[in-house]
Amino acid sequence: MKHNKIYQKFIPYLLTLIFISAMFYICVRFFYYIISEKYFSEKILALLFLMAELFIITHTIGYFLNLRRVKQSSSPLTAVSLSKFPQVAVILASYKEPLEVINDSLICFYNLSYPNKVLYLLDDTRYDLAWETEENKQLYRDNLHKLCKELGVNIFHAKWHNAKAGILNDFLQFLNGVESQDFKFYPYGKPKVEKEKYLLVFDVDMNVFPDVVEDLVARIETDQKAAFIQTPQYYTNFETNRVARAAGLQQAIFYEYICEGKGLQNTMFCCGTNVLYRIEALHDIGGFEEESVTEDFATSLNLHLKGWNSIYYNRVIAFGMGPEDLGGFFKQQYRWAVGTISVLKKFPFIFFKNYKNFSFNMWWEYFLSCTHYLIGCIIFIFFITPMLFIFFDYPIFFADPIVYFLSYFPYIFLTSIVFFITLRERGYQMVPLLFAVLINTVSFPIFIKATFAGILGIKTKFIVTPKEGYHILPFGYLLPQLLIGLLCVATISWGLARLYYERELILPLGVNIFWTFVNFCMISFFLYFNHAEEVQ
Amino acid sequence: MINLKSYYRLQNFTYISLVLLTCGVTFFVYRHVNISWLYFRQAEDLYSQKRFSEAIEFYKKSLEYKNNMYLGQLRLAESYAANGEFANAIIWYKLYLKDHPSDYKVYLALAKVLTWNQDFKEAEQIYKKLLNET
Repeated sequence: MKHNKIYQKFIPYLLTLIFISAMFYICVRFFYYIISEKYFSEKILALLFLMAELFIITHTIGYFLNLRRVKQSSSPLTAVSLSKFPQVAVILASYKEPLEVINDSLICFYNLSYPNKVLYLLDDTRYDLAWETEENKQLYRDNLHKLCKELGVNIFHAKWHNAKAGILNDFLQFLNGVESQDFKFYPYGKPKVEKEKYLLVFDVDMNVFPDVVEDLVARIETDQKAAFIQTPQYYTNFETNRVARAAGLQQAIFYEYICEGKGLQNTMFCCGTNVLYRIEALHDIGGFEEESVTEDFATSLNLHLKGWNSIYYNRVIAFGMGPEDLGGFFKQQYRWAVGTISVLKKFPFIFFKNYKNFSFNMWWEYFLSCTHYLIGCIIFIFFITPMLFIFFDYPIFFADPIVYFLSYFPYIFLTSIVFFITLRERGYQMVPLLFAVLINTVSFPIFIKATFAGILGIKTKFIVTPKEGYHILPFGYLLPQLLIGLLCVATISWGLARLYYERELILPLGVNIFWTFVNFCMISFFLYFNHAEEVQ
Repeated sequence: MINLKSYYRLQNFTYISLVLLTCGVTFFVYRHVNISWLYFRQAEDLYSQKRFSEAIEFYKKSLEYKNNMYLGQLRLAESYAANGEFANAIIWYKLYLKDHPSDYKVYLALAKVLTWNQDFKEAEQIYKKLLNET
């Protein structure tokens, strides 16, 4: 306890030291780059490497700025005492999901203690398409309706368009009294007594706690300009599944200090599930953004631009299932990355059109959010640059080794220590957190693909089709990871052969061999994650 | 239906095999691409230790893989000369000078070796050529 107090006292100083060390390191790197007498053609790759480092440092600073805000914040999220309970539409969006999963989620809905709620299942299943058999389709629909009837959950179905954002917008119109031939409503639940004020959205595998609605409503009611209140996602299948655990920890890093920091600056964006929307705000911006595959992120930006606020509430309100294999994880990450990058593409235009609407901090936070998924290209640069040096002596780094060490070591030491200590404070251990970093590294080809798709506006369909019943991806789907792994091995072998036979450039070769070895170890984890089921 | 565990093991085995294969292939390619140069470096080490007869063998091996390696030709000639094998030294000096006719230092070295080899007439011709041209 005493130790904790001392540590808390030192945190602001440590954070200041991190900013100084990061600035010092990047200044040293730029200084050596500029004074280097190499030709420009030789410096291009080094510049690329420097930019990659700058990207990482920018995001590191962004993370620690949020951490500092959270640590310095003295005002916890407030809640009002509810004297009356505004009507809340609790919705579950489903696309041909297994009935058992829907059943579990709806039972949790049924158990919600909030008195003034109406439960809806937004059935976005494509009944207009052919299924394996016509009987299967009919059976699925019948069983779904039977289930909802039993639990008193209304079903809303609309003509399919633009995935989740499409049906959410149709539903908003329906709530607003719009009638259409494309809408089908099955009133299995209790009839609504007033117009819904809020919309509580869950993904289909979310199992919600009974007391959450009143808690969320009590908090959003404190700010009449709050458009939504977002809560974290929590995966339950982390104990027995490697991918779900790593994905959950990746989420945890995001949902702890990053989201709390964003929440404090009114730049929290909604994440599609476990979120309570103010319906008036959604109507104000014309509904959910349908063009983006991450409608939640794009919608948040629209809401903020219209002057609405957002709240982040760090309480787990529902348990969900994380992706259970690499295929599922890649699919999820690809979708998120494409959506975010497509917003990045429009970002300069949005910025120049609306630069007065946001403060510098808000733009900074959105810039960080939009650029996050460029990490795939950055990882690729970190992979290839030591290779090019070892094979072709292509220079990537200009710095005196001692100066480099003296400038890099404080930066990397302080950032790592504070990162792990502050997350440990929240109950996260260091080793599992490393797996979150590893699964990100393994996913780098997906991020690169998504970056190109997002920037060029290519509508690619990412389909992972392992053999029936398999949760292990064949090597064919993991070819980039496999090739990079083998290229790392070839580089290490070549570098060692050079060291042995040439006995020149020992220090630069040694450093590059070391980093290539680290890269090899990291990328080789694709095998570990590909066998998602934890070995007991 | 293939057992998932077996499939996973098969993938691990394949990856490890590919890693080992890549290691081997890379070393092989490195040696193949650089073998002439590697022999040359070895010969240089021996030359600097004044172990000329051993150095000669490595220079010859180096030239077997890359016969247009001029530094190798020159070093071989110097090694022969240092080892007292003047006739061979003359052959390699001349071979080198064919492609480097303006390397007067090497002409001078050749003239010296010709003298040691009692080939005074040819040595005199080279000395005269050097006096005229430099």
